Amino acid sequence: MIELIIILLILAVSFGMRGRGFSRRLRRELPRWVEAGLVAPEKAPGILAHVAAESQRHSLASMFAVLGAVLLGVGVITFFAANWQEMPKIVKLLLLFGGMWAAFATAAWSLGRASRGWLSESMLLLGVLMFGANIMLIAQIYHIEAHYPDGVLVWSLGALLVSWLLASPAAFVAGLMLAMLWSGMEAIDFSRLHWPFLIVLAGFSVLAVRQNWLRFAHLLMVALLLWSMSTYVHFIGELRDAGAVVYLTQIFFLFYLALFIGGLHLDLSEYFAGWAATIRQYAVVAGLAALWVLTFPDILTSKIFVAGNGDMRPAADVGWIGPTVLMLALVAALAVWHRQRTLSLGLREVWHVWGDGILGLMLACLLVNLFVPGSHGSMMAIAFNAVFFAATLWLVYAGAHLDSRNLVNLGFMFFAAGILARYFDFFWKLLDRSFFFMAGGILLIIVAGILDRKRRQLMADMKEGEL
Amino acid sequence: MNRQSSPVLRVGIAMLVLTLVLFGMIARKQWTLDTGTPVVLETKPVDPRSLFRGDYVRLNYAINTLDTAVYPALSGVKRGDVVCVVLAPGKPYWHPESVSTACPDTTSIFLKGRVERVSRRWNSETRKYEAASQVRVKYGIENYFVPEGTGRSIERPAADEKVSIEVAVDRFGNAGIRAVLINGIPRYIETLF
Repeated sequence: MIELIIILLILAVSFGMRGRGFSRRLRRELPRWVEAGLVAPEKAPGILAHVAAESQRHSLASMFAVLGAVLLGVGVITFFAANWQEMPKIVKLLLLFGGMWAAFATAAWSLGRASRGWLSESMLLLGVLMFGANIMLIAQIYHIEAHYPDGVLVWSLGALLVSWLLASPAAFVAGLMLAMLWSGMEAIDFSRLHWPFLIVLAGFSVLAVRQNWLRFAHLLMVALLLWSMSTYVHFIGELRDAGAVVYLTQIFFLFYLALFIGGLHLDLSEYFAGWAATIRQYAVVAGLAALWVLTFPDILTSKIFVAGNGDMRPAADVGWIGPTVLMLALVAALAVWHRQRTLSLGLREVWHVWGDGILGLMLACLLVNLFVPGSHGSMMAIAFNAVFFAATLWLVYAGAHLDSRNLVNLGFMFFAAGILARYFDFFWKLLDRSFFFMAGGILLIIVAGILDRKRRQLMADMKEGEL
Repeated sequence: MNRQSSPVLRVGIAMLVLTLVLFGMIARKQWTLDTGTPVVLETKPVDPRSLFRGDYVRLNYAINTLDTAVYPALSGVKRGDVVCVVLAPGKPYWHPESVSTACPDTTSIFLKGRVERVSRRWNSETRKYEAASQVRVKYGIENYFVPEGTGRSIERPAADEKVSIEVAVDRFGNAGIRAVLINGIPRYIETLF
């Protein structure tokens, strides 16, 4: 059944990612082009309407074609499965290879015809699906029983090749989903720390950048973050010392921080600027989630997540200090480089300066925490809470300057999450349960009201600024 | 690839590479079957069904479970490690002669496998796992696909029938099933086509 799940996933993502990106981007960009005098103002609504209609038409044709390809693929596989025993090996092989070749041949025929774009894309996807089915069925015919995630890897690489050679978005999505499945199998079924996924992900990323497939930035970032989460869980399972959760979370937080600053760097590059916003947003979600974990006093003292004998978290040993300091140095270097670039380009603003200040405090907290044992965890928790709330407020500030509603919303969301966590920490034991929940409810309503009002105010200001 | 090159050429390259990958899978297996040394192994099959791929017999070989008391080299292994089992001929079945984590470069016949599971006992006094007692190893010859409905006859042979498997083992330790034997007589024989 796993094969059907893959096909349905591919289908869902192919539909979800199709056609809407250009129309949406054009709606955002067109006013600027009008302002710059590149497009006559009276032409703008007509262009938007035309692109929207074309995109809808193209999207529907492609959706049906891809759906047809998938159903055809499933039908072929089911037919083989039902009639397998009656066929001699040679007939099976001819059918398997013939099916794949026919799909690619139809794709080749339709690629040369502009009006058959929808067909070529669906046939390429069908070819990729047939390749996967062939891997499995040949493994059956010849009783090949290898390390089974390898089959999914080969399938994924085949899809990457097709996507690379023929600029096929459907093959790209299929291949990336298969790569994620491959990594998931290695991590979950074989409990492996799966670094090779990064190599494959890099291959997909290079292709996406080369083709300027900005709409796949989300999928690439989801893949990276899912991999980082599975790696985190793997380490937590492997490492037994009482400080593992704290020190490991610090390293992962630094990784996400590096990703965020990397996103800021991309903003300064003409070629990569389109990728910056998505990378920043995902890095913020993961980074603030990691920092949020470090705001819990019980985690910093290690009253929970202990090694099994109730030990308090000891100060970090060399095994933790080394990688943490390396990551600290990387983040600091990226920040300093960003400072120099913004200064030299004359783009340095006040929010950058505040950001550097908060970053400095964060790095100091992380460094000091390496040498402070769990007995002083509560003190460190106060420091981490201070930088966490400062970071969320700065994010709202930076989001407003970067014209990013998503960053603003994330800032407010994590601020609320922080308030909620501290409420639980401080009042869970102090108040009677009924009072705890009643007071919590009232607090939440008040906080939600205040935050939403502030958020709306800010959004309105940003909209005014745009006009 | 040059962006200007013809779409037909690019599709042709994709098709060729994917086809070669699939041919490679077949060729690699066939090479093992053609050049490998025939070895007969004792089995205890069960009969599950793959939802996607039809009936298959899961073969449980005597050499799948290795005792660390007999093979001390296995005491430190963990899941996913490669182990090599040197086989010695016997009547009627071949049996393990020695086991190591490094494959021998001699002319001996050896099977290369991967550790699937390590059985350890939890010591509640020391609060630690003791050294491995048994290791389960997979060699890539544990599944055999059979015509639909015939798996049971291998799983539950008649009282006077004994199932064994003839595998071919190549010089790199890779193995492939060459034939399913009932009472030493081939019931299913593998051919290229």
